[in-house]
Amino acid sequence: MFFKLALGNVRKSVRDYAVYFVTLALGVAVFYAFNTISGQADFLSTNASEIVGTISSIMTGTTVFLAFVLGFLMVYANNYLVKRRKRELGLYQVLGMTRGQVSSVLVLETLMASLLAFVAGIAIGLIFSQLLVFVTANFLHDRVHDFAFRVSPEAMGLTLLCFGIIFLVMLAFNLRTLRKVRLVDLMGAERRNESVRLRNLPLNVALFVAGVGLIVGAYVRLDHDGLPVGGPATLPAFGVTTLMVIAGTFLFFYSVSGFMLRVAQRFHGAYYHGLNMFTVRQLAAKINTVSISTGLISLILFFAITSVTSGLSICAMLNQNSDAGAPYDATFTAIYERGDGAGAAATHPADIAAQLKDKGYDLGPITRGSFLASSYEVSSVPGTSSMSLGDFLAVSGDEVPSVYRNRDVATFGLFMMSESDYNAVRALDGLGPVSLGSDGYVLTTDTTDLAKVYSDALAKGKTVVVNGRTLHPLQTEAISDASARFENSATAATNPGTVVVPDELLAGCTPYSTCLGISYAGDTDAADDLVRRISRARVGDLTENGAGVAFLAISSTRTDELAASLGMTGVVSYLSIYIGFVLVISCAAILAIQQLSEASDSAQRYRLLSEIGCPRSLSNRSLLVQTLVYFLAPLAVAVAHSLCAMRSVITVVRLFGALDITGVAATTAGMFLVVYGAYFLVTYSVAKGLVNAHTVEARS
Amino acid sequence: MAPVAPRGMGGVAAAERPTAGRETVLTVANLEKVYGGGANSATRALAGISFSIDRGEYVAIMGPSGSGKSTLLNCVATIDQPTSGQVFIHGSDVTRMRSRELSQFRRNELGFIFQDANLLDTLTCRENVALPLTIAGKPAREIDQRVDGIARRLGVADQLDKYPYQVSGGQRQRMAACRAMVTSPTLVLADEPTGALDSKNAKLLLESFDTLNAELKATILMVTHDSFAASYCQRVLFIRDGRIFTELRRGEMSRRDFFDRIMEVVAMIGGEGSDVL
Repeated sequence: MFFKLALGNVRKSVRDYAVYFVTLALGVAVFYAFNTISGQADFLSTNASEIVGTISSIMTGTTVFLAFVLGFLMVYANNYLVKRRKRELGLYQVLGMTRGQVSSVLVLETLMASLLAFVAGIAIGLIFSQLLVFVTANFLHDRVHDFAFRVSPEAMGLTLLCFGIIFLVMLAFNLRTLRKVRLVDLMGAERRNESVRLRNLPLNVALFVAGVGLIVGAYVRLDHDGLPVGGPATLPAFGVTTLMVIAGTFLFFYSVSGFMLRVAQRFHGAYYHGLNMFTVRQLAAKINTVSISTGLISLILFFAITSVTSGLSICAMLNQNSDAGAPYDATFTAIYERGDGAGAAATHPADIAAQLKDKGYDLGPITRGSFLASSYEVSSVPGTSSMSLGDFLAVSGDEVPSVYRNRDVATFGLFMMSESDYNAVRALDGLGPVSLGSDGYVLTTDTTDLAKVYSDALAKGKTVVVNGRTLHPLQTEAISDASARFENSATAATNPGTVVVPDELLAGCTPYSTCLGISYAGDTDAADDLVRRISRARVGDLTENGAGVAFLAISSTRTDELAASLGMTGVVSYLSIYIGFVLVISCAAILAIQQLSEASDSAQRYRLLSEIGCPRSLSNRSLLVQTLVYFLAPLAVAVAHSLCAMRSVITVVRLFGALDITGVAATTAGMFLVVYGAYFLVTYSVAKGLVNAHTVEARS
Repeated sequence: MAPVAPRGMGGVAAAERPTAGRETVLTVANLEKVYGGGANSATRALAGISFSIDRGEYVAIMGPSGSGKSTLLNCVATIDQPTSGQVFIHGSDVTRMRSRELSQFRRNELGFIFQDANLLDTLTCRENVALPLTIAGKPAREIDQRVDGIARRLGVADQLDKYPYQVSGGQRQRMAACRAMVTSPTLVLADEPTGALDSKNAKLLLESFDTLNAELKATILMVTHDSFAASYCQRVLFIRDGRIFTELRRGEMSRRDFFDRIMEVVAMIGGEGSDVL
């Protein structure tokens, strides 16, 4: 009996349920797709396993965050539904149903709608995630392997669990509403609440000016101070700026309607034209009551736009860096025993290629050019002065770069490399050799933060003592071109600082590591294959006079490095896009729900307009303008905030590499506008239907 | 019943029309409205009703519940579509008009007063009264003059800049009358205008209608079940079962006598007292 009643109710109030249904279905779809894709983070190569750990914790965090956002959204959408039907629920009680019975009808109804929406959502999610995989495969230039589409039962289970919990929370809210409210209120719920708040004009203008002032002030501050990347000391100032922008946004939306009303009334002729007066009054009355939520939506949109744009620009930067990060077709790195443990100490660098050939891996056929370059620690070269980041900082007078602030800069040691080894690296990079003479040195690093410290110290003539000889800097700048890299790594810097010294000073010392870099002759795939085989096989120790002195630690091909980098890019992109997407959907859905509930509250007004002879085209245009303003106002403010914020974000991101953000920004804007626009169009057409169903024309 | 009546020829009432020189504003001819689909279940709300109203007349329609008086008003108001028959207003057959023409027609030729004033709560009274003029695209200066003029005549000029919920029910209803009259319509249609008012405010409103009728020569058609309200009119049409039962003309009678006559007819056809049956 209750089941029949509930089924009938869902059928009858399809339109009311539509908003709830669409929001739930979209929520489920996005949630499922997100979790499917995050499960596919497996495609990251093992080289980046450290990053995978970080990313998977970010993913977990994001999933929880998404669940909360979607949960809030569902409760909100459902609240709208119950509010619309208060009178009907009251009637059931008047007719003698107990509260428990009314509750079970409500539970049954919501359950049916939710189950249906869940199924629809999963279906959309399946299509959506598959679509995204194709897009991604294209985006990654097919360089990522094992990236196949799959139906993810884990993701489905997680989605079901999450929405099950959300459903229960929602139900608790509903039942509480039903229990708390008195019958007389339920029955009177349809009566219009006619308390249009009147605001004092000077106060309104003052608030508006204050709001705009706060926002502009925050813009100026942000533009001047930049983002708080200078350490904890800059955080309070940034906090003040943030508070200013938040307070300013709320004040703006609180006062803008009253302000605009006064402005509109100044233009008497235009105000008294067509339905302009009606449109302005409708907007004023509406934005009055929803100023808080409009401000909130605006700020969430702001957050969405900046996080997505920042995320995507970081990706753009990573993509640019990845080519520079893997300058060689393949590199092998050997790490030496220290001579104090089981292994013997080497007296000269191991010839990696020769030893690999002995073990049956002949690199000869795949090699067009190569270098063999060894790095030495200060401790293994006698008569050498301390050579740490701290020493260079002492000369340069710079502050410790923020990333190194928690480390002991005195023990952060630099490496040394011989002139001829370094020139071999330069030769493979296609660069001319350096000539050190007898007492000169140059310094190389691929770590952007440190290059400045070193350069400042070199410019001040920082000398080093190696093997008893005092060396003077030949250049005033640290070298950070391709020759600063001795091994491939697309995702991280590998050279914290290497001092290049005359050959004879390092002769006979035990190296810390030796890198073999090669450029391929012939087919890349076949060559990559050989390198991967070496990487997988345990090739054993590198020997000197039959004793093991070193082991082959890392071998990497450019192909794999780029894939890893792109994999990381992919994950960051996904995170940005999904967070942004969910936030935009949430905002658009809240706007849609508010707008539809407003439209059905206003239906009587539109009926009156039609009765006094207002043509449908005119009232529809008024509705269109209202919906448009309602959707555009928070977006416009959010975009203004974002444009200002992005200026600072770009400044920071640019530190890591040159960056062209126009393409990224256009993509983001396009994506958001499509989603937002779709919600706008659906809202407008449903609202139009709602309103026109009540007008006079509909009856004839 | 007379067949399809062209402009200027009434149906039943044609024979009784006093002066041939007067202009007919509304002619209802053989109007029929059937609700419901099946032949047996169909309800005839209007069963071929015919009458006409001259310019400057003040006419009430009375009848018991379910007599079809609201359906009749809705058909005249172009809000409802009759099953058959014609409604001529100012010479045009409104039953043949398309929806676009209809809204223009309502705007130019008709004024509405509802039981609950039906003012827009988000607009001030002044803006409510101005609304039909702004929709018609009148210049702002003319709108101001006309709004002030009509509000002065109905004694609500000092309430114009308040919101509807800030004025009394009677004042709201007179604002609605202002809105109905501000376009100088051919015909003002009032649906139970005193229904939601106490007797004092009802009297004030009816006197306003009198003023509009006498001074502005407004043609008013009022549906009511209140004999006192009807006694302000010059003519009362009684309907029952979807057709004209009889009609009363006030002529030179005092309002008191006219009221008594109306009460007699109401008692005869089962008016107010029989509503519940």
